[in-house]
Amino acid sequence: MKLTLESFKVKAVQFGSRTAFANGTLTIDREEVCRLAQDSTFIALVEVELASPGEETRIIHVMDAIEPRIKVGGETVVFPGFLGPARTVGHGVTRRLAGLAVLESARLPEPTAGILEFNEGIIDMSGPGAARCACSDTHNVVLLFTPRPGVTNREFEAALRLGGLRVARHLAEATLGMSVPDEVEEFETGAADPGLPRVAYVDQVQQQGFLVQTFLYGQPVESVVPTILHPNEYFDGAVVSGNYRSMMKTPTWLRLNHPVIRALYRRHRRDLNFVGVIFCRGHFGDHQLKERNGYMVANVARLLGVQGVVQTLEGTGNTWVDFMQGVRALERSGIRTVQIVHELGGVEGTDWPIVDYTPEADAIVSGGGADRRFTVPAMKRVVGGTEVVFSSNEGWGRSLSAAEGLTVSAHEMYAGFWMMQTNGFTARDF
Amino acid sequence: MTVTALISIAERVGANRIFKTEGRFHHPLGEPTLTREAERGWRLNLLRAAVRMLTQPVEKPTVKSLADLVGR
Amino acid sequence: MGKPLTVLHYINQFFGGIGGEDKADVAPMRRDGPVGPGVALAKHFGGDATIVGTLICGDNFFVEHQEEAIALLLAMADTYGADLLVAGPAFSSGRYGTACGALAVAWQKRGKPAAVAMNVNNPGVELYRGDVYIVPTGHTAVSMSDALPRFAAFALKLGRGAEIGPADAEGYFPRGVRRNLRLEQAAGERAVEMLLAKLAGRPYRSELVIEEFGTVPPPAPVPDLPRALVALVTESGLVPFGNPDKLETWNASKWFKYSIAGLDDLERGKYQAFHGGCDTAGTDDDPDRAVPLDAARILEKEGVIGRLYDHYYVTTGNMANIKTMTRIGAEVARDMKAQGIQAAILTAT
Repeated sequence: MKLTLESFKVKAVQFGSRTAFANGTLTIDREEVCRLAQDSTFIALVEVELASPGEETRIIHVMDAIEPRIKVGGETVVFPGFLGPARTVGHGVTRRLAGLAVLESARLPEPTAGILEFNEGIIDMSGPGAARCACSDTHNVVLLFTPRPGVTNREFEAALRLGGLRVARHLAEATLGMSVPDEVEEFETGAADPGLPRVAYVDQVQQQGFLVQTFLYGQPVESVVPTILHPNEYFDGAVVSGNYRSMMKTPTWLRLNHPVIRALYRRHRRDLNFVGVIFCRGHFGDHQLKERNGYMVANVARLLGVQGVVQTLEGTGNTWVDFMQGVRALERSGIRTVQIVHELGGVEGTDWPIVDYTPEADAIVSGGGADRRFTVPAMKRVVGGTEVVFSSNEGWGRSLSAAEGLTVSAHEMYAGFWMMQTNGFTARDF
Repeated sequence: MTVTALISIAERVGANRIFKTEGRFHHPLGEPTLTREAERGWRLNLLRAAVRMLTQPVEKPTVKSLADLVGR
Repeated sequence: MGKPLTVLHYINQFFGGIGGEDKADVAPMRRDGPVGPGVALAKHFGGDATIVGTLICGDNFFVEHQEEAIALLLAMADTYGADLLVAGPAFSSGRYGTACGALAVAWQKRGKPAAVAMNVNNPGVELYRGDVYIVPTGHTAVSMSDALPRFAAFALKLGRGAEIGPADAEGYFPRGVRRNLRLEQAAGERAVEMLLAKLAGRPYRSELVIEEFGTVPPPAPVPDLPRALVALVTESGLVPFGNPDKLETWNASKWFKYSIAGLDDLERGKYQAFHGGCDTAGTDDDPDRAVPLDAARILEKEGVIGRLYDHYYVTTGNMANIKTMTRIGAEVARDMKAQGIQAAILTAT
């Protein structure tokens, strides 16, 4: 299965009378985009704002982030299961607008609480926060959704997701008229080189219920058992985020540009055979189910003839147990593992860094302590609202002015845990 | 004696008498899918078995389930 | 470079050339300049530091009269006014190692740096590594020539006030704090590198190494359960409705006990579970699911347990600070013992 990814690099965004892409500038027809994102049954109003890297701009209430992509020819669609039939993707030709993200910003109409709740995570386009959040280095097309009165969270969330995905695909359409991409990459796993180790990526995604879930070909993965995906399926949007615990989520944008998948592809056929992705969920309800899942992950890996895996987890808390059960089962099958994790450890870094552990986890790459604090400056512009309420900040439950300087940790940043890993943060013993 | 679903955590922190409950970790002695009355009986059954661990010697973190304590 | 640092060196009676175990009772004394291993240490300092004085104390004297020993040694130290204290290497000698650590801690309180050296198995490491920089050494003085250059280099860096980097880079025992730093390479790349090394059998270094929690000696079984006083305790955050004492839903710092006297079960609506890490709907619907009072009362009536203590204890085990929870556990246990409670049933979410 070979995928050709043609990238068109966005250097600037602006509003204009017609949506078009030329000379690195994406011009957006504002009204057209608002109409496309709309679903008048559930959404009262869609507005659009633009934000670019380096601006003193903060974006809040961000739901998902999506990179514009579109299939060129063939019979499949990007974001299968949402924008079209759930046919296997990851082959043929895909075009994308690189350096751009479509963001959905909205406030849910019904209050949320407990473990299935929206957690605020901000995006700072400049300053110390920028390295710890997603989409600070992309030109952002921010869709601002206002719900209709009386609409439920479920109705609204589903509508804005489809609106965001439609806009993302539509913007990518602007590349179809162009003949020469800025970059062409070909992704293919192909026949294994017997002299190189067979390696897979184990992706444990977050699945706890509505508002804290992941979609595979359009369906929540509540009942998924560990399965195999081709890495290219990620590049065409087979996995979409429905997870609004912002600090720990994997936004759809990140899945499309998956840092671990890309890292494995870079060494493919040179140092390793990248065999595929073992996809599973975490957050199972009891120890037995967690252990069962761990062994099923190892079983899939073994049947694939995998010799080594890189594992990541989405989420924290009890899902560490699921994660470590996977490590244990894999290592006991003779498969070598490396984990990429976030650490906790408290504000001072003196407390326990992770929630669960097994001695077999002897090769860990750390994205650093997500609890350590830093300050972000006041911003000239806030997109998406005026106030934020953080779930895990010192001022828990307190409403803060979003434009002001704030003392935060990765817990208050959009995709904070993942971005610390992706941007080279780590922690060491002192 | 600890009643929990997350036995690996209990073992790691050094709890010595660990009863592996059949409930989900959110409510260790709850089974909302049963009727109220059936659930009360279910809970009593588990707790009755669990307290047996209080009278048993252990040397290190030890996990037991209902089956271990009352036989098949 | 600036002028050389002045250094005080602490050693025990053996390395001070006073005598062996037979002289372990000698009281503190001072000598000008370097003594014993201090002579070789001074060579490694070169022109960058001068050992202006050596403090010597018998290991037994220090251990048996710690406060007095420290007071005497610090008074002697004052006559030199040195920039830096180095103590050891103590290798595996436990009394010597703990003396080095204790003296260094007292010295540091006056605002000047100290460096100590000893073997990983020396009890002084566990006791003091959180408070003092300790450079690892081999087991015995046979490894002196390996230890001294590293000890000297680290002490110089510390004495100059240079920023001390991570433990593995600088060569000291981790002090119990992890700090963030930023690397050029993203986590994904580092993970693939580490995996390739692991698969090829090449050495690799985990970025996170977990030390075990340690064990708790298991208490003996309850001798007579049908006569025992048993308490219910929970970390589910179950509190009377309204959370009157404001128990935290995460990172809890408190524990409470609430009366269950005369109650046969916990009534819906009168309690709520204040726990941000699990789905509390089931517990809110029937609090006995988290604190099994209904079942416990039946066991009490049946005589399986003697008597149920008339309160249940609660804290919240969600994103908790381990040190705080250790304190809470100890406080709850103390309260239980004061009540004559012999066994506890802990329901953990």
